[in-house]
Amino acid sequence: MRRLKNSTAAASTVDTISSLPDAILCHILYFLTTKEAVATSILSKRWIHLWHHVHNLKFPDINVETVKSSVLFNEFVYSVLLSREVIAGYNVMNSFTLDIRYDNPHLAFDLGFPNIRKWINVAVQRKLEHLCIRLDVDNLDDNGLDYDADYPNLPVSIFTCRTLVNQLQRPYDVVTIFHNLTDLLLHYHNRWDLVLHQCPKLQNLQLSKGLCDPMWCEKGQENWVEPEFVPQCLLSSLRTCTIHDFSDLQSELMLEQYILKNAIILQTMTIWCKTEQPEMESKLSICPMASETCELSLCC
Amino acid sequence: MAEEKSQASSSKMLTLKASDGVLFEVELNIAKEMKTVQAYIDDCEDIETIPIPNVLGKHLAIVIEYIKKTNEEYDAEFEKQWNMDDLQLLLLAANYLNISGLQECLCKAIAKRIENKSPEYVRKVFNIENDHSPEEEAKLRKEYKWAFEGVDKD
Repeated sequence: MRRLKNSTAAASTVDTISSLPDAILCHILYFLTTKEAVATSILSKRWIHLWHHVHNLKFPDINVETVKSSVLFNEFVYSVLLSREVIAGYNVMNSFTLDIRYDNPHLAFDLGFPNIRKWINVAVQRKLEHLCIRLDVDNLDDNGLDYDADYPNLPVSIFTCRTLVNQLQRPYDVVTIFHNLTDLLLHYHNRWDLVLHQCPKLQNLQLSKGLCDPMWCEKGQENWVEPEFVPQCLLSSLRTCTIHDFSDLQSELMLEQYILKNAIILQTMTIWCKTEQPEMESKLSICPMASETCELSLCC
Repeated sequence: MAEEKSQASSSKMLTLKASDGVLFEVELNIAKEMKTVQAYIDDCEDIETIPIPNVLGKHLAIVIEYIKKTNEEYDAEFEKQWNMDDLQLLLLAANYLNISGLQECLCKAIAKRIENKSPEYVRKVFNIENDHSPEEEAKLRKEYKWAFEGVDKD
């Protein structure tokens, strides 16, 4: 039998894991991706059904490059959802993480998004609390106007989801309210204020550029437009604001000043820059702040 | 004089007796983090020595230390010191003693050690015997095909 390196440190000398109760094993599986959790079904007979009782769906770093891989992945997600329903009865889903890069628009818009909407619907029915979705589509330019290059609308069910507390998203063109959303990580967009209007109880906001595709980065260069109405969450609930990838664009500075000027109970504003920005630093520190107790920090 | 004062103001002390007879004197507020111990105290108020039959002295010592020191930084470094045997025994202890923070920390740690590894590797790590028949295993691999693609070889 081949020995592992450092086998005494890395491997068990006895089978202790089998004396751990099912609930603990499921707790361990909770921290794996769904792919890894399902694979444990072949460890031994005991493990066949354990992954069915894990209360999350985790699909980070998915690359869909061909029709075949798209079909295979979709089939997998459906069979996970269905078999959990069958084996585990009504199943609570605590969190749903989906991070997919599609090679081309056809895979995304035709084969991907319609199914994603259905999965989110199911998740919402199962009392979803944490939702993290990131969808990237490569080679958008190749097909020009064939596809509506705006991102897919979230299914209607999500807007009535009272349990949702945490979400990572790009903005969507819908006007509706996230009643319970307290934490939001938003990829910077020139209609950021529309999103904030939809989150009246938002407490923690993070703005990031993420993997900015060229179309969006250009938009960022536009002149700052002051929102017509101050979003409610700035006036009554926002406590922390974090800006990632801050650069010296005038529009970004105006955004930060706008938040500082209006967020009445803001406690901390943290700005992460790539390089030192002494000019920006001084401009921000003399900006009027609505909140007397707000702490401003610039970090590199 | 100062010593007496601090005795009075600090918590009452409790003795925990591990399965191998090792005794630990801990403050009440530390012991209360173990919900199982808390329940014991609630039932018998005057108890001074509480038996912990399922946990070895060496692991109980680690658990008590964890309760005293736990914070984000400590938790991040905590799991790195222990081999797989100890991690699992600590997890059994945390579960028996009902310490949710420690249980979560240990589950995360074990998950980290098996993430993106092949089933064969995971079996070795946990020392699990494969009691599937080849047909059963093949059936599972086929049913959830996507789960078995592109995994690290040992």
